[in-house]
Amino acid sequence: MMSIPLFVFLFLYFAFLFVFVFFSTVNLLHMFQTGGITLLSFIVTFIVATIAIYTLFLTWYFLQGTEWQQVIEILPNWGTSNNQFGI
Amino acid sequence: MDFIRLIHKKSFERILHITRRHYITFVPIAFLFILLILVPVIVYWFINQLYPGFLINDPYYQLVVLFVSLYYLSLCLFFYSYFIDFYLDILIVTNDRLVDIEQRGLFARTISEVELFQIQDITSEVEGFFPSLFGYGDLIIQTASAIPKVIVHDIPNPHALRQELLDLAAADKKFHRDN
Repeated sequence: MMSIPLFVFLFLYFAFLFVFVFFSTVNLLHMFQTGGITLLSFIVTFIVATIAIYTLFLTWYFLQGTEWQQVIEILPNWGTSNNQFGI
Repeated sequence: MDFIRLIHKKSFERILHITRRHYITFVPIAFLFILLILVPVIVYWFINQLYPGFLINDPYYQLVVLFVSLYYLSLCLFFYSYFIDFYLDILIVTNDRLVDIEQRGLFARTISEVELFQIQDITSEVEGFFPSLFGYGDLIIQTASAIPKVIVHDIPNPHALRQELLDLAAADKKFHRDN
């Protein structure tokens, strides 16, 4: 059994968000510097940005009020049972 | 447009064509994106049918939410990166030269340039069901320059562009011969 506090996963998520923001910024810079803004590029950028913002909003909405100090168990039966496969 | 700055346009140069890959070649990725967006919704619907009240008050609820959020954000990032790669492949034809800008991933870009009078031969290829239906294909340009061959993929109306490039190359050759 392995116990991990929930906030560890939150920090991992924030680390991913940092990578996401970095690469999104690089993408946008490419678009503005070289691609030129056309109707197609605007529509695609708008759709992707809308989905990303909506995802972030829903994540916040579903996770508000979470007690991040609580501990969850990963692989709860790992190593505690001699008969894990029911044989 | 800003990419004109990339090619350092000369004072006498006129831009005749700016061509990107045919939009239809992006459609499969767009469909895949929509399909992958729907996957968690469909999976959740099925699980909810089999186990009503699934994940309610479950200690793993927060983990699932974080994972699904991560999945959607990754999807957005990959899709947009692919779009940038697709959209920034540009062929620019001027009255003096041909510039092929190829974006390879996020951190690599190749710009090939061929003077029109150095063009020796051009082949246009339209192969396959969808290319024939939507009229797109490849343009293979043989040159006498340091870049012996330039291949431009999936451009619209390659046959018409080939003919126009041949005419432009002939006019440029005549200009260089006379001056």
